Amino acid sequence: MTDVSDGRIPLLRTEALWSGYGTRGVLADVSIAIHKGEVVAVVGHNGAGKSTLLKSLFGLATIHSGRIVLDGMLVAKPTPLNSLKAGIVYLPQRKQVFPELSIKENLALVAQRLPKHDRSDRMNHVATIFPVLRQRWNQEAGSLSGGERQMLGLGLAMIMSPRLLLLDEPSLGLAPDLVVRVLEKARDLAQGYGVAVVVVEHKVKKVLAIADCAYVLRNGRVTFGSRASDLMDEATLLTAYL
Amino acid sequence: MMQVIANGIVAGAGYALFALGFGLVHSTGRFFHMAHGGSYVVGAYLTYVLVSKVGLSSLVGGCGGVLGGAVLGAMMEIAVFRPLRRRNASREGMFLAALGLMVCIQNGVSLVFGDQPVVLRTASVEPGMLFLGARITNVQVCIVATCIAAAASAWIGLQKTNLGMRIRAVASSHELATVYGLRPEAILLLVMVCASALGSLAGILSGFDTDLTPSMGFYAQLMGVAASIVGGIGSVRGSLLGGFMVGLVQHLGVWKLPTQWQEAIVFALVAVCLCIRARGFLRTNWGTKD
Ligand SMILES: Nc1ncnc2c1ncn2[C@@H]1O[C@H](COP(=O)(O)OP(=O)(O)O)[C@@H](O)[C@H]1O
Ligand SMILES: [Mg+2]
Repeated sequence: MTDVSDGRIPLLRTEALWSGYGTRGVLADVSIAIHKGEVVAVVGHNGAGKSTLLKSLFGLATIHSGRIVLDGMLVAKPTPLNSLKAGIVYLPQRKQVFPELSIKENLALVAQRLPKHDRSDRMNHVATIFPVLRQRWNQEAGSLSGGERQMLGLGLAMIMSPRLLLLDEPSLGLAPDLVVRVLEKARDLAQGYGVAVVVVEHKVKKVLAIADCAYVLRNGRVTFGSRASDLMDEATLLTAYL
Repeated sequence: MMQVIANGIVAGAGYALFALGFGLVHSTGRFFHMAHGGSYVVGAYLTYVLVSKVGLSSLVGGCGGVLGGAVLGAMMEIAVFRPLRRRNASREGMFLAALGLMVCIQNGVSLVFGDQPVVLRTASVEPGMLFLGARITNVQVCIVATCIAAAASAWIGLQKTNLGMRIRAVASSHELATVYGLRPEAILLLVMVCASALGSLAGILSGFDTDLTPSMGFYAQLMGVAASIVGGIGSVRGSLLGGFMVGLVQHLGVWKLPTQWQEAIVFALVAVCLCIRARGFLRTNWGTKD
């Protein structure tokens, strides 16, 4: 396996992770490292196990063996609640917002996890990062366009002041220029707020343009891992791997 | 004529109260809770026992009945629906399980109390007061008032409180709710308890108005589901509208037609409404998607 850490201590790493759903195995022997302030791209075919990787890290899949290490400490058994407490937020594929709730309610709902006195500050902060949300404050999230919905999804995640953001195909169903906007926003969050971002993406070239490192998944295994400096030259190679 | 309308409104209030709880469960749990009538009949018979056998006052007995209905709802959720949901049961599977529960409950009630109607009304039938030319009893006024108060509280609770927001979030998506740290199972249990309390309240009030029979729950289930579909499943205002429409159509229809047609008219209404508005008149936008 290619070592992509350069000897730095990662925010989160997996060691020989085997996981799946119930007794069903999906991921096999996955070892990856995620660093603070970096964007990690995860690419691969449909059904390769990309979503399962994110779910395993967040606590929505079953870990069969291997280790997840956060801040140098072993995570015994990840659960969504513990992950949220540890500053890990997961944005699922396709469904990242509650369409039937207003934008304000979406944000307020997630903010309920914060101490009372922080809530409105965080909501205002998020509205500053994503100005489009403020304009539509009391409208239903379902009325947002695809791109705006993505922004709300990122906004919900940012309410929690995450340290690790797990994005599952944020570009799904977006027009090409919006894809770039969303991915650049993800990069800005990493650079501006020191968030570690893992992006699962179909649009390989676009995500490599903003990523610091990348992993290719195939049949549940990592078949390729590379640092940012090598990425652009490797782009064609990566495409071949897919 | 006024009497027919008044009767329709009273019946409709009962259906609306039933539809309110049924719709809540449907929006959050996403299945046809065919055993909702179980709380209705059990609440009514429990109140009958507490009032007529134990000798408690109507109010205390009624509260006991509501409590019993709520506990029954909690038991159904924990023992049947939650395990099924954990096994990814289909909506059809949940529907059948609920229907089976309903049959068991009705048979259980009929085993214990017999099939003959029992009477919960305490005093001799009051003549009732005259209102716009229609005779209405205190109980009937109480039914309509309770229905409106329950609907208003449900609406405020869902739209204006933090808990209501969480309930709507769970209705929107169990998965996303989990992702943001809500516990859908706890919310679903709470909803089931509240809905069952409303259902048993409907049964108890109707028990004070007319007689009790073991099949009263099933009948309420049919009418309540019809009301729900006409008004729009899961919408608080839709439950009210649907309940009153079903009640009125039923009574206005029987005014001219033989009584045997009473149920047929209701389902004709359902058919007509589905042709006009396939999703009911006031279906909510929450909790209708997957
Ligand atoms: N909830 C689940 N239960 C069982 N198997 C699942 C579940 N979700 C995904 N899978 C299976 O796991 C494999 C990997 O899926 P996934 O991680 O979603 O792939 P990707 O996101 O790369 O397209 C697929 O074979 C899929 O059928
Ligand atoms: Mg996926």
